[in-house]
Amino acid sequence: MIPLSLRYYRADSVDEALELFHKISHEHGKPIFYGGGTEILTRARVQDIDVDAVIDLKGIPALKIHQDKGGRLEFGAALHLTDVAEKNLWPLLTATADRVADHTSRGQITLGGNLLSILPYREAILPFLISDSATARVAGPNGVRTRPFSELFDETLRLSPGEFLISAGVDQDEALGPRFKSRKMTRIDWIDYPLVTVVVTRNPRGAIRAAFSGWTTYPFSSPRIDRALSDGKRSPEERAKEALHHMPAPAVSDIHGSREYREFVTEYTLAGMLRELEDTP
Amino acid sequence: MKTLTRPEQVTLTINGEGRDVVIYPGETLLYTLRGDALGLTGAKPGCENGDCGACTVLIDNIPTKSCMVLTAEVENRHVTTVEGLEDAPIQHAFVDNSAFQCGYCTSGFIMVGHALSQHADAPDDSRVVEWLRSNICRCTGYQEIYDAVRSVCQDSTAP
Ligand SMILES: Cc1cc2nc3c(=O)[nH]c(=O)nc-3n(C[C@H](O)[C@H](O)[C@H](O)COP(=O)(O)OP(=O)(O)OC[C@H]3O[C@@H](n4cnc5c(N)ncnc54)[C@H](O)[C@@H]3O)c2cc1C
Ligand code: FES
Ligand code: FES
Repeated sequence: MIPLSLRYYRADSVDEALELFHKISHEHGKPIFYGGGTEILTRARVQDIDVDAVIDLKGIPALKIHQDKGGRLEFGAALHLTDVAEKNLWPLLTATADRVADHTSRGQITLGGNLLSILPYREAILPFLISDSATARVAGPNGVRTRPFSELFDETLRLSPGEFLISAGVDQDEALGPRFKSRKMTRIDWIDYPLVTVVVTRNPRGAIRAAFSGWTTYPFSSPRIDRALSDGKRSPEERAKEALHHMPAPAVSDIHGSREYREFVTEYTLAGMLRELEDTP
Repeated sequence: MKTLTRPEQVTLTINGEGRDVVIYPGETLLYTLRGDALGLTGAKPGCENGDCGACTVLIDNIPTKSCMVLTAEVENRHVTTVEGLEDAPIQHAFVDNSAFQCGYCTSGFIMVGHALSQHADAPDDSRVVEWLRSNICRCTGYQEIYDAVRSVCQDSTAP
């Protein structure tokens, strides 16, 4: 049962949310920023999270931004994953986010909540990990800053206590230029956490980029993997096999599948995606 | 700013009516709906983990798993439960298609099907399947449920 004493605050502005967090912490409370609440509530129910106040961010207009402006695509952290898919500003993000959970849950899960989940998957982050222009707008005690994803991301988006994500953005050219494939492989059911989710892009010069979720305890991309996958002199199968040698960590064995099975599925999925991307004109 | 730090009386709009109810800040909507004050037991507790959909209600016409939303969040929103559907086509479609057995999952499926049938765009088959994948039935067949929902949605492929 969720502690009934949990206090609920809904902030109307970025400053209000920051002040609330500061005030509650200062009074020895344990606040947490609250997006869709799906993870916080399910964890609270089994006493897996030690918080006594939630600060709901969904009423803050800056977190609902959803636009294509001046060559940048901007996605507010409080957008629901169904909003992202319906507007479809970035088809690669749609294809990936639209495979998270199920349709009803995606109407509750927010983009920010998925990117900052404590779970290993965070599938909606994959497109951002392979976009050099991706930035995160973060609010914190020292004000609002826009930082490149590459600087903030190290296995997770590294936000300090009291900081929260306002929005994430990417250059339209980079987002819409390359061809892409996004594939989620699950053990049996369509709706499940991924055995592995693979996102691959190919730019007009043939350079490949890839990002993975489910392989290990965090989502990742890697320039070494991208180099191996971009070596056009080798077959897709050879490149996929080679890419597996450059994974930053061994594949996990868990309820979804053994290490060996994950490697096998990842390799053939990757090879198939390369073939599809390169075969079609 | 909205604040709820102790049990408080709030007014919720449920099935088109304003209902005064005392809620705790940490209370889920599922809990409030089923409590003595409202007694709306159509939304069912299943997994209480977001997986089964038995607790699905509509919030502003959007299917929502009520075990994963705080009641404090829904003040000023319109909540519709299965009790609020009066003779809706989807209810008859479930009967006509024998789309239930024990019935535990039924109200959740009905709410999803009703929302889809009210949607402006006519859904294609894959969309119907995608929406229905949000719910789990443990004893009857999914085909009958699909047929019931399909029968009340406009067909996007119809001329
Ligand atoms: C039924 C179900 C199925 C799921 N399936 C998948 C799946 O297939 N793939 C997958 O990747 N995930 C899946 N998830 C996990 C889900 O995407 C994450 O749990 C996500 O965190 C939920 O988003 P939320 O908005 O509800 O987050 P919340 O519960 O509100 O918050 C989650 C965490 O994010 C933090 N947070 C939220 N918003 C912000 C912000 N703007 N700035 C800073 N921190 C923030 C919170 O403080 C908290 O720590 C599933 C979850 C459910 C319930
Ligand atoms: S009880 Fe809410 S999804 Fe199962
Ligand atoms: S009819 Fe029994 S669980 Fe669906």
